[in-house]
Amino acid sequence: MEIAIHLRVLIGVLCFALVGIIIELIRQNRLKEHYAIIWLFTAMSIFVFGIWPDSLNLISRIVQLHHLTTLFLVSFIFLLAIVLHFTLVISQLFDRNRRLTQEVAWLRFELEDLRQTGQDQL
Amino acid sequence: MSKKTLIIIPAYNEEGSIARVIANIRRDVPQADILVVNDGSRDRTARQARQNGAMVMNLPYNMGIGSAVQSGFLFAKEKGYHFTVQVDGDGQHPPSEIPRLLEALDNGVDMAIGSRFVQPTKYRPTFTRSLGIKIFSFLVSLIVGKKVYDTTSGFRAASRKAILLLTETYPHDYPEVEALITLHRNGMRFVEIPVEMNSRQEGKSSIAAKNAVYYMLKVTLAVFIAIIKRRQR
Repeated sequence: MEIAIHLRVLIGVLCFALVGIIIELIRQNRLKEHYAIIWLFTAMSIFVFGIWPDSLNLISRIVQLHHLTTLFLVSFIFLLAIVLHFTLVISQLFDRNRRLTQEVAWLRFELEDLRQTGQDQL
Repeated sequence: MSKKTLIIIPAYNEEGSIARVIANIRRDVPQADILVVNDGSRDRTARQARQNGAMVMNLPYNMGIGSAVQSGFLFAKEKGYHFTVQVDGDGQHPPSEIPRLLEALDNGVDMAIGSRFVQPTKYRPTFTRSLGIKIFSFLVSLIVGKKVYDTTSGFRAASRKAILLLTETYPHDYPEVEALITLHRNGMRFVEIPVEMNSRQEGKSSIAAKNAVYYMLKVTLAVFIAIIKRRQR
């Protein structure tokens, strides 16, 4: 499959920009390294498809689809994986948030109780 | 009934009924401690409860009935209570029946459910609600291997063993049905105790009509997942 040279350059620039943004976000403490991995992997995949479009052709031949359809399929599966990953993270956060809130409520009760007992003793 | 008992009242905007509920519990079960879990109420539920002699644990935001009840379990676990009884803040659960639930725990079961359908009572659900109740009754009976009539009743007493388990795992919304499967899967026994419930004095069911579809789907899914879920430790 032939991809015009300027398109390849564009894809390359896009990937480097993505990697740059990710690294900058990690540097600023706005993105956890743990979640950056999936984005770096995404950038790498785009890069591979960009400089070596035949890899996409190879997949197209295996799944017997038009290469454009394959591109959509690959992107779709990728996005699906990312969304699933996010849902996992949210579920975990939800559980922890819930337990934390309950513990806080319990500790506040204990604190007020202790304060009350202290006042009664004075 | 010399065991330490905690009455857990999950309450969300129940200022109109909470005082009477607490008074009735103190009259019928004077030896028990009462904890109102104030689930982010915007009215004077907390103050009403405190003025009537209940302990009040305030949740910082509305977490849902399951999380509120679980907070009560956490409280009971930390404070070393042997038994808990969950009573709704709207007055539909008759406190006079609490001793009968506790009696069942004394006899060694892990949960006693105040049930509306074991014997004919005055409670008359609407058609759709009745259908949902029947479906869950069928499902749970199938899984547990014995007839369970009232799977959605929130009027329940729990043993220390059940308290410890449910502190670890309890659904945050519509928890009643799923919790039964969780208990069963972890080798605990529950019984139904026939009770006559009052019609709601204040407030409305936590299951509004628009949520009925979500309720059915969520709980059914939860039941099937609860079967295949790994046991706690």
